[in-house]
Amino acid sequence: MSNDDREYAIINQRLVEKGDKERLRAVLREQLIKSGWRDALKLECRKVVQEQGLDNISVDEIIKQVTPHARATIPSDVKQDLLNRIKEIVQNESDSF
Amino acid sequence: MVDPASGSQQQQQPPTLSITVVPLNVLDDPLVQELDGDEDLTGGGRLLHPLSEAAILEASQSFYEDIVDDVILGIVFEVHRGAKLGLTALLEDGVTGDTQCDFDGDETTRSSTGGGGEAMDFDAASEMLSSAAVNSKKPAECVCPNCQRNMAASRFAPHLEKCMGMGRNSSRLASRRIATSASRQADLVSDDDCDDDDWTASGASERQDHRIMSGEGGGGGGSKNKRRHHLHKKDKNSPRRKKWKNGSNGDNNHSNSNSSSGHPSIASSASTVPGAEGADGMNTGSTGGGNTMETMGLSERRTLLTTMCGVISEHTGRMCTRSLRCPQHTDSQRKNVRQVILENHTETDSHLLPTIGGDKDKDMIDVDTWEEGDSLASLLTAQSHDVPTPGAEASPAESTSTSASSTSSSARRRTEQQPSVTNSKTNSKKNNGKKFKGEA
Repeated sequence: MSNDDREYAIINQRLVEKGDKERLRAVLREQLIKSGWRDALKLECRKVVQEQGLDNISVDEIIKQVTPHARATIPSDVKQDLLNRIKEIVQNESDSF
Repeated sequence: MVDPASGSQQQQQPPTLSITVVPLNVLDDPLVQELDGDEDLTGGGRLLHPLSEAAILEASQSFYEDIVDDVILGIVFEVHRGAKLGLTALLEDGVTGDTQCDFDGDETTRSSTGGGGEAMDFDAASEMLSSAAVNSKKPAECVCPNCQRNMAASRFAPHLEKCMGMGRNSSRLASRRIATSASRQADLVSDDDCDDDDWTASGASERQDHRIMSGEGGGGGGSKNKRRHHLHKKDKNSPRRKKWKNGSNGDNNHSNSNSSSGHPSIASSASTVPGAEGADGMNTGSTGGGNTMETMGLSERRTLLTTMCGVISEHTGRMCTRSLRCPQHTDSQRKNVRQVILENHTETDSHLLPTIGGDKDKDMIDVDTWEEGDSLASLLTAQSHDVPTPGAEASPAESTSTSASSTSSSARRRTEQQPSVTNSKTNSKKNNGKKFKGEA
């Protein structure tokens, strides 16, 4: 396990260094906006804020409440697309060791 | 150092390779070793072996989750910030309020194109576009509140000076008028809202009664809560549509007659202009001023509130026009103002929620603006009903009478526009006019 972590850390650092991660993030954001996921999530967040009351809401709280739903509702094609891209990059990374 | 690496290499790679690589790396890059400790364990931040399929899958999965979490975090931050600053409703109403947008777009389009055909288009996207276009176009065309002429914004101020005969010290009023000319136009154009005026009328008279009843205290802070309570209770039962907007419009027309009659002192003392014209100018100005926020569409409010502080000053009763970070007001003040204003709007449009905020806001504005008397001077009702303002006595009789007569006529005009205004409203209006004529 610790090995996996280390590998992960390495690849992560590579991706960050090469700007791949940033690029992927931008791509994902765009796709999610296009699919309406972002708006839905915002709505969700606002609902949470309303439920909790404006005064006793924190970012952590919102994240805790919203994340499971948000992850689950990501359109599968978007998810697949992103996963493929990541896989490709990781593959390259591990090939060019 | 070698152990973990070789442990995983049993899967794919001959251990000899890693054994040669690791010490080399460590030897070559002592700096790297110091700098990024963790990665260095596996050889200076380099993978020692190609990953297995499973490992790649796993890694990409966790990357994916990482990135998704990042995106979620970004959105959450945005929403959180918006909520805390009271900007949520400003920035994101396109998301929730489809009905709002429809209504709003419709309204603004109509107001700026003079009843043009754009309003026919109810497609959400084009709605947004058109309202955006309208927003950007709006400042280019101004309508003189006095002579109803269209003109470029750059010509507007000079025109006002001439048209209204105001001097240099009227620049404040002029700028106010610029801001409100659009809403006046909306008034003129959307006469087809007559059916909505039923609601207005009942609402306004209701409110009027309450004000007379509970406003006796002269609008001190003490009576505020009481009144709010009254209004709140009553208004909950009335299923008025577009309540805030029309209700306050009626309220304004109404309070305008009161304000101008109750406050000739302001009209005449604030401007060094000869009575009749000056007072009339003030009145038109105040009509617009009072209507500003109410007649503004949501998008207009949004743009306004996203660009300026907007806190309603207790002293002048005007909105603070400084930037969003204006040091005079606190974030919470801004938040409150936005909440109140936008709540009102959402309530009017969703016609589902009980209007708590609307009355609250109105009351607050009432109380806050009573000194100024030219925007929402409903408090003056109380004053003008019971006590003649000291200013009224002090001011020259001519200007008082002119302003009173002009306003009573304007009040009548208003009444005609709203055929279904209830009796109590008209009566009280006329009474006001009479009263002040008599006084003068």
